[in-house]
Amino acid sequence: MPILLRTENLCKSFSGVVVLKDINISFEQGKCHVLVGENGAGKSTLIKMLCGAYTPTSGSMYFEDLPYQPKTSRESIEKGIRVVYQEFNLLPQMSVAENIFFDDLPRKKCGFVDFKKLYSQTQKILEKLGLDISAETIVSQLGIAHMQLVEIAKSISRKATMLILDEPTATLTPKEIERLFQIIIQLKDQGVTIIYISHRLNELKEIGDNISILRNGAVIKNCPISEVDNNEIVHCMVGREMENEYPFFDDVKPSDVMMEVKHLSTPIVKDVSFKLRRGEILGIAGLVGSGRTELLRAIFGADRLSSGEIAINNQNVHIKNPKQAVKAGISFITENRKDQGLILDFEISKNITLSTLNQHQKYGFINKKDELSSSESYRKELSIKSSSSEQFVRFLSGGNQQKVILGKWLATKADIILLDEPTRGIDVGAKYEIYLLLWELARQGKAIIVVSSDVNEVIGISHRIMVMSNGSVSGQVARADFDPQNILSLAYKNYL
Amino acid sequence: MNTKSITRSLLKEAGIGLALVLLVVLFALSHDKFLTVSNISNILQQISINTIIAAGMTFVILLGGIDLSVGSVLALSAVVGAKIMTEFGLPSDMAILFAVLGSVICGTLCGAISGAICEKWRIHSFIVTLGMLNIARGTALEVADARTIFGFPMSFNAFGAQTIFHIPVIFIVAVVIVIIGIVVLKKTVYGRMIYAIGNNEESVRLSGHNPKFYKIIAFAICGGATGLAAVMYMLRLNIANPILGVGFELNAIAAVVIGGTSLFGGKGSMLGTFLGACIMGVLGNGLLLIGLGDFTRQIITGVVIILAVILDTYRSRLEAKLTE
Repeated sequence: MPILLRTENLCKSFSGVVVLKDINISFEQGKCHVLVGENGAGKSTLIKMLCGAYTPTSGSMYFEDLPYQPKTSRESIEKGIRVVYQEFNLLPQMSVAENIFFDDLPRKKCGFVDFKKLYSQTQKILEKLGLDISAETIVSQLGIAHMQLVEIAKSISRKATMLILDEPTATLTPKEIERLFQIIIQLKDQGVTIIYISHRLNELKEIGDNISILRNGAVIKNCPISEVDNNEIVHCMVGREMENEYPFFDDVKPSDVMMEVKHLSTPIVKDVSFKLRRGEILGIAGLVGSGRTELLRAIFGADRLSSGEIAINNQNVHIKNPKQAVKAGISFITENRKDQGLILDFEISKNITLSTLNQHQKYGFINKKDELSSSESYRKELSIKSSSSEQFVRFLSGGNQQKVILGKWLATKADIILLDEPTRGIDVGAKYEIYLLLWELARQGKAIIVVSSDVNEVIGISHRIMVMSNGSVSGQVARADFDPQNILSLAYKNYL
Repeated sequence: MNTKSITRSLLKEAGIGLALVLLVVLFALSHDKFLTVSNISNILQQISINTIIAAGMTFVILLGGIDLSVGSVLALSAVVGAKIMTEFGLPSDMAILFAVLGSVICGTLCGAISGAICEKWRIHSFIVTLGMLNIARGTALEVADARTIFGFPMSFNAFGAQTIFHIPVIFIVAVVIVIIGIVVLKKTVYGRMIYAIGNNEESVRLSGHNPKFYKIIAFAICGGATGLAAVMYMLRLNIANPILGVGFELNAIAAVVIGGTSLFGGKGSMLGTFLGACIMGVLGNGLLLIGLGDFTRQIITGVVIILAVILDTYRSRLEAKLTE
């Protein structure tokens, strides 16, 4: 196969700090090239250079054997290089069709947009992707998984020689992932080169042809994917052996009931009842949009309940807003870190004390010293990779940002901890640290709920799994009966 | 603190400070009356009222809001205070005390009402305060019966004309307000919340706070500052009039924006606002001194506002580079 794009001794540094050094990778045409590495290994930086967002410090790139020096992303788009980033670039108030064809809206002779043509063209693309949504749907009404697929539709609606997918499956359910993989195979057959970034090692073999493993800004391994197994990949990525992807401690056992949810309903969640015990990690599985996030939000008082009750330590509590939830000893680590968890332009210290500022004040004045020492202790405890507590959260990697949020909630010393997709988009090493932390908390007698779309993860770390389907609980499974097949069929139960 | 973070914090205000110094030097060189004690005292007197209003406005803008009603609220507060002083036959000490309280409370209430409406029905403050602009003006005209109110106690009028080492008393009040503002924004829980909400309200809510409460308070602060500004205005003019303060909202917003506070909220400082108000004042005075007409002065002021914001985008880019 001919080489579509190759890099030669590509280097990049930011203000003297080397982020990538001597990167030599060849991307074969029509192949799926997998890129793995921990957060901060330099994957995003590499992608940004390929698409012209960053200029290399030294080294060169060749597109179809001709020197390729993109200065803007427009130049890379002209070559047909398309990127689907983890963060969406959609216009939420416009329709799916308008989003997909935004750069190139079909027009009538008089210059007005030809909506008929626009919708029919879009519908064709959507069908090709097997997406059962209308071209006229407003994007903000779509779930996060559908938004992702619209992003992909957008990038392949025009000429594409290379499609770069950054963590495309992080928000997708197994069924949607399968569809995505079919699309990728289709595209490969058409000669499109795919660069695929993912933290989910199990899926790589299904679609990957070649793999490059990055660590600390250097390529550690570069080979056909068939030549490495998962253990070796992890070993190359983290530089050490990972004994077990999902830690489980038999000695941590659930004790008495901490929280009881009785017939809880919201416009989306239907009549959910369950008990949560001290020292228990309860996993909630289900498809995206099955009401898992809404359930957590309702418990936390972020959304209003239509009916139902919540009892903590056998006492009914009426939580009307997050403020009361925090008072009642509940923490909520949201799915969307940047919009619902962090203040990006605040320092690490200020983010960590966001929920507990009242402990560091006297007469309304902040005791800066006290605040810093407290946040510093959480920064150390969670080993948040940063130069100091004064570093801005915006510039941290996903895993470290998540740790900052965890620090914020650990500081509240809450007894009930709700986590929504806590490891989404986080590298293997940081994931493992978060699992260990959850176990440590369970050992201290905290009650923990983890919502996750990654079935293996839920199975790996939960004492018990509650499956949600179409807003209601379709089953509760004890650890002895964990089985991916069973959980998935429960997840689909109420949609059939 | 490493060198980078020191440079960064210097950058924040240094740009505006430098611009102010340049302006002063420029005017000092072009007119020998500019740097005289009486002219400087005059400038300080002129910028005091805008400084106080802009200080309150800074809270609202840091939250990503705006208060267009301050000019009218100033008129209403002045009229209310003036009525208290002149109509109830109180002994002059009591009259002054109640007038000051009346003005400040009137302004605070107007602000709190605007804020509460914004939060209760989730309407942008631009619209709500545009409504309040008309309501307050109408009420002021109604209360004063469209007439000028005068005849304040002698001691009140005399206090307004006082200076301490040639510094007008009302400027000292303005500086005290600015200092309180700096302390509140930098040192208190409330100030932290203002910045946090301005950056990301949902994160703050989901961290267990009630942003609506903080936001309503910010509008009340802005209104209260305006009420105080109304008292200062009466001290200067020795009258009150329901058509006072027309267009003051724009001067206050200009001072805040020149001072580097982002209209999107979350970024900015009280010191910046103060320097912004100084620039506005020095510019107005200096241009008049060198003999420019009203029209030209307005044009130049407009250009400076836009220029300030353009320069600020370069400053924040430089800042971002240093942080990277």
